[in-house]
Amino acid sequence: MKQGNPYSCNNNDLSFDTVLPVPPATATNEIWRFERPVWNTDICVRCGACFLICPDAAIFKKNNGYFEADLNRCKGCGLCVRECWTGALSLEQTAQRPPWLAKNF
Amino acid sequence: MDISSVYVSQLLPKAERFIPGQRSCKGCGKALATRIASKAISDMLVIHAGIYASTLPVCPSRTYDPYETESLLQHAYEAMHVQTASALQRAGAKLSAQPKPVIVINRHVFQHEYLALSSLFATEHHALYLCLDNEHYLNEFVARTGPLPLVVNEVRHPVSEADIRLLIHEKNSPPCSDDTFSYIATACPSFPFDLIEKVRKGLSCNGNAFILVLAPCPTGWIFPPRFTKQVGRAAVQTGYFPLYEKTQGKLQITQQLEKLFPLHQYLSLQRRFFTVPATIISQLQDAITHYYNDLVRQSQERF
Repeated sequence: MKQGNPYSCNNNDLSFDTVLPVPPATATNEIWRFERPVWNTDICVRCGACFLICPDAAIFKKNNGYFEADLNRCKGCGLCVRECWTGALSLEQTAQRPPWLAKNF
Repeated sequence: MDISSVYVSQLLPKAERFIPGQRSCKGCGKALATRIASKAISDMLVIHAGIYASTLPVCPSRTYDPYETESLLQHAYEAMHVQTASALQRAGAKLSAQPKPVIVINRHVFQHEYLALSSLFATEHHALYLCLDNEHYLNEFVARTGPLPLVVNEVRHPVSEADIRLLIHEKNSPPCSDDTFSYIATACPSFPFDLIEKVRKGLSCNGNAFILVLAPCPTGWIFPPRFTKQVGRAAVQTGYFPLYEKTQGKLQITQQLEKLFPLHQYLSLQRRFFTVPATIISQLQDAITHYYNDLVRQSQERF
């Protein structure tokens, strides 16, 4: 990586293979989340569909090829669970669901 | 490695100029669309300040600061100028180098500030304009279909069939003439590879490119956030938001539909349409069928 601000517009050496460094999580999305995704590695085929669909880019690939949600970024929207076609993903409750939220939401 | 063990999601480039942890809603369609589009964008991204740097608690497509457009234009001009100058310096540019900048902008801002933005289109430096549409204009449409509140003393014209046809026609096309852009396309993040392909085509074409991206909004459209992709797919499959591309005036439908699904499948997913009467919905269905058949006829024309 070239030295200097990695987010500058003049970084002409940026190729497709370079991954930008992610800034440290100074603020988390934990207040949004009352459910988090859990992977069942017996069923997961490591296709990457959940990785692609996350609107917060919270899902990352571990060294063994399976995926995990970064809880600092995950808002618990559940898109990855719906996207998983093998049924390896499920939602686990981490906090009390807000009482004003309708049951089917 | 067995070829059948490679999934298409893994073949996409790892790099994405998308910084996680932004203040979008749960399941935000705009964030999803920008992230998928950023898979095809390697070099430069000019983002409207409203998406990533907003301090407002509400999505900036409903409310925005008009003074932000000035800074957007300034950034866009700088980006274009710098990109071109640096491109000239790099004599032997790599094939993966991006030829033009990308400007991501809300449709709300695009329509209101069109006069200011049209000065960008006329410059010699070309760009790709990604217009994220979460259908803010339908709020007024839905309100018009219902009865007037008792305390309001105004005349409200009921929605006519001509209004509906005009809405459907204007909704799915850019608010300018065909000559402004050499590449026009519609895309949806529910079809991610189609979106990536269109961004790549827009970057490689000569001249300005415009991509209208449908961004399903769970907050504004009132549906559970996990259905963002399903709502986008329903919008395309019912013909409500057909996916097409226009290169130099020649139209091609990228997502061919053998038959249009009933519009009810799309409307029933969102609570914002629950108060619309059935007569209006049937008129909407007719207008959508008419518009899609028109598109098919245009795509089959040869000149």
